Amino acid sequence: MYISAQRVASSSPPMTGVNAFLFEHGSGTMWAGPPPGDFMPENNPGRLVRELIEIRPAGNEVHSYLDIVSPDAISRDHLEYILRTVPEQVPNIGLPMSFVTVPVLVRFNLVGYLLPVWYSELNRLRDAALAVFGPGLDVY
Amino acid sequence: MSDAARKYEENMARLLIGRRLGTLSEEREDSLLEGMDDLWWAMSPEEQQQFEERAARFDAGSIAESPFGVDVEVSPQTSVMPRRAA
Repeated sequence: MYISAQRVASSSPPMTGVNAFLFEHGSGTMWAGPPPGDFMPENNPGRLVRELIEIRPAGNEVHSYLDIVSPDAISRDHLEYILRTVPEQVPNIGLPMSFVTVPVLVRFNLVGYLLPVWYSELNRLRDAALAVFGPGLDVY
Repeated sequence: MSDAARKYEENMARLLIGRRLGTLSEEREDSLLEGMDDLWWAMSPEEQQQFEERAARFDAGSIAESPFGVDVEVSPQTSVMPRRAA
């Protein structure tokens, strides 16, 4: 499973918003350690199953993003728990942030002008990620 | 986090984004700043300190100023990330 929540900015008209996408990898996507390369979004984002769109894609600048890569079967409670720990990881890891809480990978980054509000931006992206996840994927 | 602290950070984000996009009128910016001033003094000294520490946590020089490429339209029939390098 791959979730991406990203702040995008359109130039005409000048607007910004957060779009979120939920992809599933399908049955049998389980791993014990960090996500294998075969399931990293750059190689295989999976199949889109849900999206929440505030600014119509395509060609808008991306100003921040929160990526989550996980086995499809993760529960909502588990995902919420992991995402609650992200803000405390950011100052330790720095930006761009990438950390693994086995078996889940979380990545976060933003452009410089948003730096003073990285905390609220991260919360905004997290809320969008959880909204698009909803109750979770129907993997059973 | 109190309601005032949360709203302060949200309004700060609106201010920064509006300035970046050039969408804030002078009146709107003044109104935002005035509201933020009230929210700041409604925050506890600990919350004010937390905000200042978080805001100063990173060296701006180490953070990208350019956007992370552009977004991409995706569909169940495609298997691509929703963004790509510009």
